[in-house]
Order: sequence, then structure tokens, then C-alpha cells
Amino acid sequence: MTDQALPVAFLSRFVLPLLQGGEVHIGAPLAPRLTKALTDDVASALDATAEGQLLSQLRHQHLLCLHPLVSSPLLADDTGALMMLVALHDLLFLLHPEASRLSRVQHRQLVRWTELRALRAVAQLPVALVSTIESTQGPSAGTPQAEEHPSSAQLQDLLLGRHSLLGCLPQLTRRDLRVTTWLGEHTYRGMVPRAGLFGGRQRRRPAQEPSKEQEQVTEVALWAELQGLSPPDGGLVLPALLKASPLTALLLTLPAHGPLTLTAGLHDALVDCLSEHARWLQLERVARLFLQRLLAGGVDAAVALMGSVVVALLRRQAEKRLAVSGAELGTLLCLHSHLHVCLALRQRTLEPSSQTRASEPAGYADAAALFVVVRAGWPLLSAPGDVVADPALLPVLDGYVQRCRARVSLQYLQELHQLCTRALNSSMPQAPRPPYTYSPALPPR
Amino acid sequence: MLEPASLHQTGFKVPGLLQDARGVVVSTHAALLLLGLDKVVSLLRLLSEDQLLTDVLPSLRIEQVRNDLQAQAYFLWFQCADSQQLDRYARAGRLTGATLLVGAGQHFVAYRDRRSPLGYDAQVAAPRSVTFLLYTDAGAQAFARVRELQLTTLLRQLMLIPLPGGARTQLRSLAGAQVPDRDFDESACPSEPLLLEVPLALLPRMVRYLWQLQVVVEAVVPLALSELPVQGALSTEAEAVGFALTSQSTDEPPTLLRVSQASVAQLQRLLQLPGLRIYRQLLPQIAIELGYAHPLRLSALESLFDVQHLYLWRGSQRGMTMLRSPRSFPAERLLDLRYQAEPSSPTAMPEAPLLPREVVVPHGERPTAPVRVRISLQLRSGLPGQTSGPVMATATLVPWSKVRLLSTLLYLLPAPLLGELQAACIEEGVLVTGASGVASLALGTLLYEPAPGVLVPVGCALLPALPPQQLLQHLGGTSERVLVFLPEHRMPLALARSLFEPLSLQLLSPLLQTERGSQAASHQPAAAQLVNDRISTFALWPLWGRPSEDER
Repeated sequence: MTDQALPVAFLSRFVLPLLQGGEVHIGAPLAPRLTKALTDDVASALDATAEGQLLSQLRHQHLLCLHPLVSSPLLADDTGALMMLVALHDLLFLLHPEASRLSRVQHRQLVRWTELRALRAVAQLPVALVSTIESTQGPSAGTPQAEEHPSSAQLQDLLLGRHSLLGCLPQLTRRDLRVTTWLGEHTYRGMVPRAGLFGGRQRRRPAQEPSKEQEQVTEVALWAELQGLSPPDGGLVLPALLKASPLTALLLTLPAHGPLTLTAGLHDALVDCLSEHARWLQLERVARLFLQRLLAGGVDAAVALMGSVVVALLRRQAEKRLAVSGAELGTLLCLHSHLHVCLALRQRTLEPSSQTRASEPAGYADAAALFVVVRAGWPLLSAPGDVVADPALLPVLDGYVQRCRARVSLQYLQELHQLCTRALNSSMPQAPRPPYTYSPALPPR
Repeated sequence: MLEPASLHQTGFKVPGLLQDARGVVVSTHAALLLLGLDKVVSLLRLLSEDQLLTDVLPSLRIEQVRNDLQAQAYFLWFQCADSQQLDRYARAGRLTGATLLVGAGQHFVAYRDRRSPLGYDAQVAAPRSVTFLLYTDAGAQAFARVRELQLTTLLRQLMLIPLPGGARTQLRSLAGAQVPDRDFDESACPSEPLLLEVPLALLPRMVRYLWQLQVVVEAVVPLALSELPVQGALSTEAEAVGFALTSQSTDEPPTLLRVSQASVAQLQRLLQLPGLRIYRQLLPQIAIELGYAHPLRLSALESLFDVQHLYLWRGSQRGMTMLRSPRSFPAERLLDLRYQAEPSSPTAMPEAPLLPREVVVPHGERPTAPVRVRISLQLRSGLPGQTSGPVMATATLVPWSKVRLLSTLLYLLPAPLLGELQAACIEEGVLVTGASGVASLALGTLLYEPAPGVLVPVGCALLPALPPQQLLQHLGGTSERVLVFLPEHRMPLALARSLFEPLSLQLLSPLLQTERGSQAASHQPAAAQLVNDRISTFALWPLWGRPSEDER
């Protein structure tokens, strides 16, 4: 087997069906064998193969649904993408029936390696550069620093490229076959029973005896099964994979279709997701895609959900339980204000009677209060400059703010103002600490 | 003999001595006693270098004296009562072996030294019929005057000192070259204008030569050479005679050309001409031949030379030459640009007045040139002089191999410019024309219009260079067609104007079809289903390797 045979087979049997549909084959774990082969040269060579070109085309088609102007992603541009795919394959192997053949040591070792693959993909993301990165039209474009570090467009292409690989993960299903025979009940998870096992016995059985075999097929959504894994069984791999693809994490937290309903699960999931990935919303395309997914469920629900989530994040920040910087919270407040502006413009087109009749979704009071506070204290975060400068739109916005102001109490506004002030003024989420602490009270080993 | 002076001394035995504010014994005059003429020159050189000579030059007198033993010496005396100045003169005097004395009239006492910081007084000797009485620590010496030596006379006797490297090295240094500069660019010009002394026989050719080299030349012509007597600093008859002696070596006044913006290479070539000298002008009235230096610093003696005249120092002769009141004017006036006929045909001038001969043309026929002498209009490349000034490209012929790039470039063009562009698709490519230019396209072969409707590649020209009206008349009109001259075609291409359409209609419409939207709309990913492959017995056994290799 040549050096390229295994990666090409990995593409054709696992990656391509994952994107274009079909049977996604899970074989023996790949981490020990394939990781050494996943160098830049191999990635470039894979792009030149027919499978690599098909993969690039599929990823491009997938991304065109999100953004009309994207370039074809290549494996050579991002070695971490292959790391993620290998980690995903090995994570799915942990659900393989044959994984029970592994000893405890082997199982623990495989889980650890899979986590390492995913974390290595995370490490290739320039996380620290997001807050300092400038747009390509900025004044620092063309400077030597801008040439050394990836630009904003390159970083967004990187995120989109990773999302094109993991974005279809929720659609992945597995067909489990549950067979009940006279020998007992057997479940084949994603496998087909061998023909000779029961067929031969059936043939040996007298024909006049009625068959007692029953087959039950169940479609299992692997996304829920992966989310339910415990840490010893690889439960930390999926969060690491989502951390390596923040756009996927942000988009998959929100429901893809249907109206947005504020539930406790969605609220907590979004709070956790934004506390982890809020920095990526400073990128324009990421913020647009997130808002697009958010607004697809309705403006009212989006405003309510975002308002309650941002208030929860502010409270966490005040309790020192959140590692989010002031700039990231400012970005979230901007997005929240954007939703309010959308809502204000939408209400302008409605009749005044329907405005009052419209039922308020849960959490809307928090959102309205937060918008009033931001509008009063941080006008730059409250509305775009062209909206404020428009003589026709500014009265609409002011009227909306007055309606919001009438719904909340002054005491709650003061509390929110304190939270915002404290959060936005904290440029550093927590005091820097040394990587290890030395305690002389500890006994020597 | 000498008595050290004390502070606040009330009286001195030597007449004329006094103490200044510091208590140093000074007088109205100071004097330096030198034992030879060479010492005098050395002292003057030192004083001129230190800018000490300028202050005392009006009162400086050089006396040749003789003592009782008939030994000759030179006595320089001048007015100076400043002890600080006298200290500097004493320092310069010690370097040349001279003794500084102060005094007035006949008596001079040694200036202060280490033994007596305030100076000396002396026992006055008996009055004698001598010119000077010098009181030194060795004793009182009496000197009698022999004659007075004028400074200008001294200057006439001095010769210039040749500089190492000669005129060429000094010429290069004037142009900014360093001493070991092997990579010196000889096309550089000296930093100051230079004077050329040209023999009179070479003058017309030299002026014409320099004029052809586009060197800025001024002719410097004196009114007369050393017309006697010369007014000014050299006022005495003897000085004038001295000048006359120096200038008698040249029978005719030297003709000078002041050249500027001449390169070093050109000047070095001129230096090879016999009799040609190059002078450097130290001051407006002083010029020294290039490659030589004067023993004295002539700028310190500026007041000796009248600014109305020009004093030349040649390296090959003693003294200087004075040009009286030279005038400068552009040397182009000396050029004789008239055509001079050969003297071989002195009788060629017609004596009778010229009468025109009438040409009789046959009725109804238009005289034309014979066919054999006619030439054809040709397209020639690389003739930048044929077009006056920069031309504006109003059309471009984009070959088909680059049309794809042109269509991509159209995305960047603004709407006003895009609306002006007209295009015609021909076999050679797409011919794009624009009324306000097609320079923004930067593709293909740029063409300009020497006449309306006639397109010629930029860098080429039609020969003979006809005016636009004559060109149109010759080509037969371009109201309904456009003529395109291309280097690869012998005959011009005639394109009907109906072929031209807006560029957007020519190129944009087929390129608007992109498959992007259709792909995105038709992308409906099918459901992916996970299938667990069967894994052989030994598939999981040897795979683990060493964890340490992979965890790094």
C-alpha cells in the first residue's frame, strides 16, 4: 500500500459520503496509522486526486448555501481539517460494536489520542489574533504584520472550510438492526448480519416450524448519541471538535429550521456556546451567519433569546465565572442591538394595534431593558451609524426605545447598567496567573 | 639690558611702552625680525593661514635692514596694541625663528615671554643714527634701513606650488571625487565654474566645440592688458613696471572662457590641448591655474587686489597677470553660424536679378510625379520623434488569448468609462475604442489616432509624417470606416463603423452565465448513513505503536 492509498481510501469511504450522502464507513481507528501521513505534502497531494477535487467541490457547494462569495476550500490550506476528520472517525469508532474488543487500556488510549487529534486542530486556530486582527480594508493592510498573520478574510475562509466538513454531522444517522430469533435477541449497530449465521440455520430448521424471527430497524441520530457520551467514553472529543470549528458550534447550537422557541436547554446551550466562541463573532461573516440563523426563527424570538443570553453572560461576568473579555461582550451587545433595530424596523411596517396585540415571548423584558441601557450608555453599540444619521429611521428607533423603556423598571435598568459598565470596562477577563504555582507547604515527593 | 616689567608700573624707560588692561607691556607698533626672505614668506604663510594677516595688512611694512656687521635682515612692523593679538603673532613668530618686539619709532623691546609674563623694559642706549634699536635679551642691536620691500613685489617673485596629481586630480576633487575613487563618474561636473585660457587661434573652434557640447560658456575679455599705470592697490610706478614685467611674456591678452556644466571628462580632454590652461577662481578677482597652489593664502590678501580686475596666476611663471576690467558676455555671440561658401567659386554670385520662369501647364492635365519616383506610406516602429509630444491611446487590440482577462477586467471598470468603450470583434482579436482613452484597460496593443479614424500602434508612426488632413485625403476618407495599421499586416485593415458595438454587449452578455447559483440551488445533500465495517481479528492488535511518537 502506498503512502497515499490510505488517505485516499479514507476520503472515499468516510469523508465524501459524509458530505454527499451515502454509506459512511467506519473501520479500524486511524489515529496511529494516518496521523503521521497527514502532512502538508500529503494534503496537497490529496487535493490533486480525483477524490480530493470532488471533496473540494462538495465543500464549495455546501458553503455556497451559506455565503455566495467563497472560494473552494482545499485540504492543503488547513491541515487541521484532516486532523478533525480523523478524530471524528475515531470518535465514531468508539460507538462501533467492535470497540468492545479493545481492552480498557487500549480504549483509554484511543480516547486520549482522539482528543489529542481534535485539540491539535484547535491549536491551529489563531485564537489570540481574532481580537487584534484587522479587516483587509483597514489601514494596517499591507503592513509586514498583516503579511505574517492571516488576514480576516483568510481566517473566515478557514472557519468556513472547517464548517463545511462538520456542518452535516447532525444529519448523520445509523441504522440499527435488532433481530430476535429463537436463539435470542441480537442488535447490529450499523452492521448487516452475516448471511451464513442465521440463513444457514434457518435452512437447517424444519420448514413446517413457524419462524419466530423478528427484525426491527431503528434509525439512530448519531448527533444526540455523540452528545450523550461520557468523558471516559470520548465525551470530550465532540466539544473539542466544535472548538476546532467554532462556526459549526455557533450554528449547530441554534435550530436549523422552524420557529425559535426559548427553552431552558437552548438558553443554557447558547450561553455556554457564546461564552466559549463569542470572540469569533467579531469576524464579519461569522456574525452574519449566526444572525442569519438566529433571525430565521423569527425576530421576536431572536431578540428575546439573545437578550436573555447576553444578560446571563453579563451576570456570569459579574460573578467572575466567565472568561470573556469586554470586547467580546461589546460584540455581543452589538449583535443584540442589531436584532432590536431589526425588530424596530419590522414594527414600523406593522399597524400600531398589532404591535400591542403581539404577544411578547419569554425573555423579552430582559432584552428590552438591555437595549434601553445600551442605547443610553453606549450609543455606538446601540445602532449603526447610518440608521442614527437617517432622519426617517431615527424617530422610529427612538419610539421603539421609549416603548421598551415603558416596560421595565428603573431599578432593573440601574442593575443592568452596572453590569454592563463592569463588563465592558474589564478588558482582561481574569488576572494573569503563572502557569504553575509553587506552594512551600506541599510535602516533597 | 632687559628689565622685567611689574604690574602697575608707572613709567617705562623705553619711549612708547605702556601697559594694557592685563598689565602686559605693549606699544602702538609691533615688529618681527627675520633673518631671510624665506623666513618672511614662511611667516606670511602662517599669518595668512590663521587669518592674522588681514587685520594688519593696511599697516604692514617690510623693511630690509642691515646691522653694524652688514648682516641683512627683514623687519616686519605693523600697528597692533592688543596683547591677545600679539600673543598669536609671537606664537607664529617663534615657529619661524622670529622675535616679536613692541615699541614705537626707533626703539623696540622684546615682547613678553615665560621669564617675564608682563613684558620687558630696557635701558635705553645712547642715541645713534640708526633706524631701529632692538632691545633683546642678547643685547641692543641697531639696524639701518636698506629699502622697503612691498608685499606685492614679494608676491610677484613667488611661484606657484604644483599639487600632487596635477590638474586632473584637482578637477576630479572639484567634482566631488574622493582621493582613491576608482569608480568616479567622469560625467560629473565640477561644483564651480572654471576659467579656460584659450589661445587666440583656437578660440573660434573652441567656442563652437563647447557650444555643440551644450556647455554654458561666457567669454571674459579684458579692456586692455596692463595698461599703465594701473589704478588701485598697485598705485606706484614701480609696481606697474613690475606688473608689466610679468606680463611682457605674453604678447597678446589671454582670452578666457568661463565654463560651467562641463563634465570632468570633457575638461580632461581639453587639458590635452597645447596652450590651454584651466584656472580656478578663488575669489572674483583671483584665479589660479588648476593643479597649483599659491604659497600664501590669497584670500587673506584680498584687499590687495582690486575687484574691478582679474589677476591670474600661472603655474609656469612667477608672479601674476592682471586683466584690466574684464567683461563677461555669452560666448555664443562669438559664434559665426553663417554658411560660408567655398572660396573656390568667387564668381558664382549672380550679378543679374533673378526672374521667375513661368511653367506652362497643358490644358486639362494635372502635372503629377512619375510613378517610378513615388513612394508608399509606410508604418515604421521605433520613431519617437515622428509624433510631437505624448500620444493618447484611444484604442487597443486585445488578442483572443487575452480576451478572458479583458472580460475579467471589466468588473473593475467604472460605469462612465465602460459606457464609452466600443468594441469590434475581428479575426485578430477585439478592437476596443474609447473616446477618452483606453489606458485603463492596459491590455493588448495600444493604438492612437494620428488622424480621425486612422489607428496606428503606439510607438509606430506613418512615414512620411503627413498632417491629418493630408493623411485622410491620401487614405480616402474614414467617415464610414476605421483604418487600422498593424505591423504584421502590410496593408491596413478597413473596419466598417457598423461593426462597433458597446463593449458590454460584446463581452458581458455571454460571461454573465455562471453556474454558481444553479449549483447552490441544486445542492441537496442526501442523508448520510453510518455503516460499521467488519474489523478483522488482528486489525486492532498491531496498530497502537508507541504513544509517545504521536502525542508530541
